[in-house]
Amino acid sequence: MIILEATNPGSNVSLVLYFGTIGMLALTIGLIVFIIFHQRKVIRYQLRLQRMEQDQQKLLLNASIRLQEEERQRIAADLHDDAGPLLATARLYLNENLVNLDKTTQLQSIYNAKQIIDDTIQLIRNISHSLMPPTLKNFGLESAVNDLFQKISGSGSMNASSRFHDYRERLQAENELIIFRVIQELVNNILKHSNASFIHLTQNTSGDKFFIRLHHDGRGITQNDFNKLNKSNVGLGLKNIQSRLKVLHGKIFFEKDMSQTYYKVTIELIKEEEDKLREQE
Amino acid sequence: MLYLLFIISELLPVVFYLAFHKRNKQEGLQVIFAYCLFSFAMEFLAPLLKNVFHVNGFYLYSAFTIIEYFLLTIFLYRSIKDPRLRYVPIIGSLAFLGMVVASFVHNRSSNFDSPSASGENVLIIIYSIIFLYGQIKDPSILFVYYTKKFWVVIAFFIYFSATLFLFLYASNFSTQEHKNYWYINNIFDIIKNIFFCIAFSMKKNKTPNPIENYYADI
Repeated sequence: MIILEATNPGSNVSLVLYFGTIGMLALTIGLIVFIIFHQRKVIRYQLRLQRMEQDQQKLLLNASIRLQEEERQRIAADLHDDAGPLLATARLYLNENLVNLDKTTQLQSIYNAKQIIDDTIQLIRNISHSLMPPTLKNFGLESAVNDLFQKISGSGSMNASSRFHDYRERLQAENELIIFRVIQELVNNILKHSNASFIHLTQNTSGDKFFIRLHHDGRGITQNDFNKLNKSNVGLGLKNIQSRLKVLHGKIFFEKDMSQTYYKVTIELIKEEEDKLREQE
Repeated sequence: MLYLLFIISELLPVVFYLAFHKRNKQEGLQVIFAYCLFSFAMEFLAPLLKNVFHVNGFYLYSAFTIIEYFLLTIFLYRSIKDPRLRYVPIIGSLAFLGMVVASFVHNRSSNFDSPSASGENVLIIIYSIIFLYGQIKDPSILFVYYTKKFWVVIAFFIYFSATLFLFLYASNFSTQEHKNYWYINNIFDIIKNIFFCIAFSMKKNKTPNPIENYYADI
């Protein structure tokens, strides 16, 4: 009917009226359809993002579980391979006293057993320190980091130094431990992979932000490499760093220095988060 | 037959609103209910005023246009969330008042108040687009068509788009032409009222959130 009316040669008004109405309707319906489809597209995109985030969480969780298992295996191996034989040997020496009546031999075997027990005590202390460094617990992050760096420097393989510019007030013990573990992991990576001749760590604050920066002159990674490794199944240590920092709502940046000579790793934490956690406690 | 359907359709949103009153307490739907009541009442009042009290058709249509415009603008103004875009209906309303005054001065002799009516159409279409744009940008609304306001705005949007050209020409229509073309208004009025019925009968807060569901599955 509309077409018949519109094609009536005597009526220009009806032609404009009908085509105008149809045009407007087409535009309106087109716009509505566009809105609906656009929203669906947005929803699909959001779902994909959520799924990616969930996959990332899974990867981090797996990494932290695997790391925990590796740690347990290492402790088990230390106890089994080192402490176990040492104690067994000490037992043998002491056993010898029961059969050997010669005083000098007895004294010698007791002395040997004492030596072995001392070694075992040292070994267990080392295991315990690797689980929770006493310097960190008693004197804080600054001392623990200085201690770690002194040990590295002392080994002669690398020159390591650290400087804390603004660390008058200690962070919470658990947070210090997390940061220390992150630093340990980063330093381990530098020692293992970078072939660097020095590591330098600095700490400072700016506003409500707390920064720790690590410089080294070896082979390093950039933020792109870090993101790629984080998404892949390799790079367990990096995933562990990421999951630890997530607890503190912290960020980590890997970059090459402006001079293109050094690699720089920046850990950024928000002091307010620390205060909030303290208040929650 | 079409006119009868049109009259019935005018009554339907009123019935639906009252039947599902509990579902329509919020979201400013009372304004739309008032508009539906007014629109339905005008179908009976207009012939009475025209034939018994000999009120000029121009004044009747003008009064209807002004009240309709302000009711719909109040609804849309309350529905637009972006404070920057909320200025548009205010400025638009001033422009509309200017158009009404100009129409009263220059166009009083015709049967239909075309400038005001078509101005109203354009402004309501603009406000509807602004509202829909806001809905797209709002991340809390995942399925826009699960909200009552969407159906109400779509009703206006389609009705005012479809009748724009009709209202533009209406003041020049002869009585016969008016009869010939006015069915366009009736058809889209019926469609508008159907959309209102859908909006009034929808359940409150029934927007499914696939992302929440997604997390619930984890």
